[in-house]
Amino acid sequence: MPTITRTMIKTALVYALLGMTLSGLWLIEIAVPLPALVDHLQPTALHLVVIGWLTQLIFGVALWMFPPWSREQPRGPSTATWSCYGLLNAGLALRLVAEPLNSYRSAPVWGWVLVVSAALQVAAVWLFVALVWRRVRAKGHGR
Amino acid sequence: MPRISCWFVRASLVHLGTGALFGGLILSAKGFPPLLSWAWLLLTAHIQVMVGGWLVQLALGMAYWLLPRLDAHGDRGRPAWVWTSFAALNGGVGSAALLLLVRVWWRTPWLDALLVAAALAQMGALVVFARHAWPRIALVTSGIKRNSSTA
Repeated sequence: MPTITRTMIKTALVYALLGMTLSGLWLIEIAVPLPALVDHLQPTALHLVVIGWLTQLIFGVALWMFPPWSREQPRGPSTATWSCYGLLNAGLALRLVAEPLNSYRSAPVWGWVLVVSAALQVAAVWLFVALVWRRVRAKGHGR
Repeated sequence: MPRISCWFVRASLVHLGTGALFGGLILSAKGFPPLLSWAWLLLTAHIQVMVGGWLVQLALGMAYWLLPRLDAHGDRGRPAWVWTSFAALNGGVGSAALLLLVRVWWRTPWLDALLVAAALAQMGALVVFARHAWPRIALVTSGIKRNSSTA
């Protein structure tokens, strides 16, 4: 398993744990009073699971298993694959901080951080699409 | 990768790129509500595209590629059913996303009927795919049973 895949899967597992913990707090809050910030964390928790866990897991496995980019660079240019990883996780980390804080106590700085976070995540996704698009091809005559 | 899987995966990548753009606009709208409030209209389309168009579609494409074959010649069985599933899923997700956007400004009974049709197309896509995949999954189960009984 290539290093980029191992790194993505391990990071995805961390996000799964974090996302499920935050979702769990929301369930606990029904029975036990918790700080109001817990409510504001829920949209972030959902995206930590769907993007940080599911989508990142798919990215890692796809970079590993899809037909090779070329003989010399089977996973594609390593700068691009690592950039994809960096952009996605930088975007998610900023989101984890800015989204609940912006919802809890809105301030212009959090608004700008959210825009940067969105741009980083979209850039990561589009970079992944560009990396994988040419690797999605039929071998011989596909059925 | 078989040709049908290529179509499923590439279509799912298109949905991912589109859905991420919608999501990015919605996230930015949280930061600047007065300026970008219109982006919230994309929320239902974002959910449709990311769940049905990206996650479900990618899973179906990979399943067609990777599930065990039906015989030693590599037959995956019923390609026409899988093409039907592909068309129904993309027709259903694409039209639902579009209709949900149009419905914000303009509501008519026939638009709602089209939305119901889009939902049925998505469900039909899964039914048809499951019908295709069922014997390929049963083959693995019987194989495991046979192996465990002989072990």
